[in-house]
Amino acid sequence: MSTESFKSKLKQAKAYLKWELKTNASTLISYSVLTITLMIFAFIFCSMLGNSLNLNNMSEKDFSTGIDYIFFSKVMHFKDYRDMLFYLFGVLGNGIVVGITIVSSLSYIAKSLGYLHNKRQTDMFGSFPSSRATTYISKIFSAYVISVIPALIFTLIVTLLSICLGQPVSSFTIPSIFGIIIGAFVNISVYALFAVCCGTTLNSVIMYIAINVIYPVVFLFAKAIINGFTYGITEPMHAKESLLPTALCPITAYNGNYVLYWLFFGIVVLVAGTYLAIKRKSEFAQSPFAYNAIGHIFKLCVALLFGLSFGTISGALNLFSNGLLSFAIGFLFTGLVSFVITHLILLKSFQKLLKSIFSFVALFAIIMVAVTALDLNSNNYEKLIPDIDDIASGGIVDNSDIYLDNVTGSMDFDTYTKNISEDFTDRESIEKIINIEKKAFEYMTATTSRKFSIGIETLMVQLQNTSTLEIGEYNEMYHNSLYSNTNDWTELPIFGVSYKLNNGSYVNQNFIEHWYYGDLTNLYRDNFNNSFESNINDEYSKLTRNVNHLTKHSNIASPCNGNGYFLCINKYQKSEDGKSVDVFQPYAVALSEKSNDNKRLAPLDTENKAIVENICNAYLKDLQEKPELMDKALSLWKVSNSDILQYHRDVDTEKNDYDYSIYVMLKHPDANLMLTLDGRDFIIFDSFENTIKALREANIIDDNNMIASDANHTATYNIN
Amino acid sequence: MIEIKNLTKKFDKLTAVDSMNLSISEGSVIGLVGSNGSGKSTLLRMLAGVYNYDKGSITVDGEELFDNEKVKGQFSYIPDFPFFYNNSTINNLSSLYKDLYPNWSDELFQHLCEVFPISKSEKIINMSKGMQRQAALILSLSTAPKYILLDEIFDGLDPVIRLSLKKILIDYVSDRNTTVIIASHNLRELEDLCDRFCLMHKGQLLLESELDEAKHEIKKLQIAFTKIPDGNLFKGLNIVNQQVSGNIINIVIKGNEKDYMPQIKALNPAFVSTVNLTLEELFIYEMGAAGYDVNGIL
Repeated sequence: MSTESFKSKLKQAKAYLKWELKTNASTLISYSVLTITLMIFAFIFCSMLGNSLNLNNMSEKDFSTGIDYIFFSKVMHFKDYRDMLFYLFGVLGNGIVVGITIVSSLSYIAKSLGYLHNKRQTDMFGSFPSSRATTYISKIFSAYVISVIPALIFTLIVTLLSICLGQPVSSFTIPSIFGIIIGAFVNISVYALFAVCCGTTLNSVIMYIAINVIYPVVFLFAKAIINGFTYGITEPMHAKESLLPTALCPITAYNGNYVLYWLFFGIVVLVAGTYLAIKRKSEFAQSPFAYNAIGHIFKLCVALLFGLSFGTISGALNLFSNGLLSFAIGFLFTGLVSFVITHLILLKSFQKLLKSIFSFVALFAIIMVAVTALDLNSNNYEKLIPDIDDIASGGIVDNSDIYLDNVTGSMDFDTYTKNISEDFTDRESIEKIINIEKKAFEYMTATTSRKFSIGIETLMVQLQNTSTLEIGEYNEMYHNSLYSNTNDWTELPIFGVSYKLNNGSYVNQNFIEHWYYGDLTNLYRDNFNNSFESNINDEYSKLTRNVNHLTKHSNIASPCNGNGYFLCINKYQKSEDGKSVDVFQPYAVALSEKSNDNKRLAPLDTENKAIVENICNAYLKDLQEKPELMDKALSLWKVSNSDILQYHRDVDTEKNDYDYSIYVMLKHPDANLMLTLDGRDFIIFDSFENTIKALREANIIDDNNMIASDANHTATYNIN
Repeated sequence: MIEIKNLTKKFDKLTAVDSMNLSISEGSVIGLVGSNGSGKSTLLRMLAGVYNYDKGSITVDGEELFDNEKVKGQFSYIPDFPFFYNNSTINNLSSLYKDLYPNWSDELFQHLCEVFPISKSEKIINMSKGMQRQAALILSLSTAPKYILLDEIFDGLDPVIRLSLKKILIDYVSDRNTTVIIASHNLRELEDLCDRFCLMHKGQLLLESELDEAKHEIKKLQIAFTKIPDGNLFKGLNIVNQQVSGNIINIVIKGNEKDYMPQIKALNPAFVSTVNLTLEELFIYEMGAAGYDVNGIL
């Protein structure tokens, strides 16, 4: 392109920009007035909220009593209510600007590209002495400039106001600016592409809205099906933590994340749009589509959306006695109906319907082939196990092993799994591990219908997750918070296997269930976990119930490492009439215990630390000396209080002669909060002389192994 | 000079312009006439660069026209229904045209604003149909185009404005050697203005000729007999239309007068009068010859 030609194009672009500014002046003023009005309302709202909380008379102390201190002061880092309200104003202000930008940019570009959808405008702009590419790009540029510049000005105003009110340039300001710059570019380009492909503004808007809805929803369903059919192997994708679920959902570019990706995406869309604009037949203005292919694709996307969703539900409900058949019929019926309806909406006639239905049939065939292949392949888990001849060593842990990092105390099951890879080097033990894994795979094998159910359950959890965590920053907060037991995904390892191969590489397989706090799904428990416990646990115990394993992997071997554990000594003592069991807690100490305000954890003092370590070391020594009691001693792992009582009765019936009713209970506070597990309970027998001695030295029990006189009576359980 | 070669434009299954060949020299006024749906407007849109063509080419002084901003800068096109935004005025549109068209002339703009008595600051959308056309003309002609493309431009214009427009166009042609191509069904107005015309039907160019030449080629004769002779009187002649009324026969005949007049005079008519056809009559007879006549429609 010559310099003269380039200058000429710039002149034309400038002409179009001037023209768009003139024609959109009133709209621009309207949006600006609306933005200012909403921002004033936001400020008034925050002020009123401040007054209602009586800010002027509040001190920092009051703050901690009003709203959860941990969340607002430690997670959000607010100094006081005022601080919080100004922050809220910043959030609302930026939200308003972004919201108005989304609407205004769409309205500008829709109006600007009206020449593609109106025959009279087509005559006018088509005859102007500028190339099609110049016209198209100039119009996009114009819409971008008149959307983004006011938005950036308003963002600057919000930021300056926030700074004047004592707020730092918060973490949402920069993403907000990037979000506006890149989001407007991407969304204007995407709309423009649809505008080129469509013959009417209405269809362009429908397509634009549809892609923002259809892609993420189809992705969720597809992912849910894959999750359902591969559960135990793949983990459900966290909607917020990955680009993929929103990769073709341009509205999410306004979040300000994945800037490079969206920039690339926007450029590709812009180039494609320009190419199509040059090739476009102008006479298709006011026709449904300028490029029929886009209509086909759209109809197929809608059919895919409804087909997948209703097909999956139909498959999960097993409506036709066979999961796959139910899915197929559900997909076919709803997909076809939605395909026809979409055709009628877009083309407003039955013309070409029969011809285009072939594309739906092709889509149906592809989906069925994919789902069938997934179904056939999904139960073939055993191929994941390496050949025994290739394995140098291996190990296994389950979720009742303590998988907390001994240094940081964080829950890193993946890392921990690698640590077990050299536990067993003998072929016999490795074979046992393989057998355990094979049995686990057997329990994971489910019917097709059940897989769809699992997919649906996963989807529901994902939907909750997505809606709750839509505000990105809050997601980050929860993730960083110690109190991550609110509205967040968590992972519960079931068990993990690790092999070190002869070639030095590792194969780690973690069997993990994912669930959502407050809405624990039973999908794994139903199918896997219970089965694992009842059928695999015995074999697992044979491998792992030894002092070596305990020393290496159990918290009892190193109780004072990490963030801390609670250590409790509980005494279960039958009442005189033998009908109930009273529970006493003579000793309860946390390595990190709660502070006075019962909100924070404070380090454990040296004296208590020594007591805890002494008791745990003594217990390990007892186990080492009396391996025959190992199973009984550890038999209460992963059980609830009611199970303990049941055990109490069982042992009573057997009339064993040792005292079984003292337990050491170790819990990790995170585990307690997050997973509501019971931690571990270790039974102390009379013959455990070292432990008894340590307990006596700590004045927890007396010389008769009776509970200390000042023990707290905590509960009574009816054993009949 | 505009060269149209083998130009074809299809709308789905309909061929709007079919393998058209045409040369348009500079400094001429060409009337595009034809039946409804004959492809006149489509041809104009292709000449204006609005539509791309499926086959063939349009070159202007050897340069391809489509999507060529340099060539398009020499063209000015007023469609049958000009578009104006709700807030468009002649004043604000003039700035757009001025920025886009390389030959925009403020002098011409001022002059045309004086010729056409409409407000420059009033919203065009609120104006009458005729005034909107005048607005379009002011803007379009101010670009000092080398080629003016007008589609049904006389619709809605009052006789005075029509006359003014014709005068302005003639001045453009004479002063600036501008080429004007007008598609219209108003053949009476075209007849005053055009020196050439193209007759289109079903996408094809039926006839392309100088108006005078065409009129010379086809005549209406009124032949009076004391008694009409028997037999095939006009055997061998190219009779387009023949009507008998008593002893008078009216014929429309194609050909050279020197060729057919001796045969007619040999019939011993009482008198023979020769009348030139109007463009409208030319249109009707030529279209009739192509099978498009009142009898064919009704």
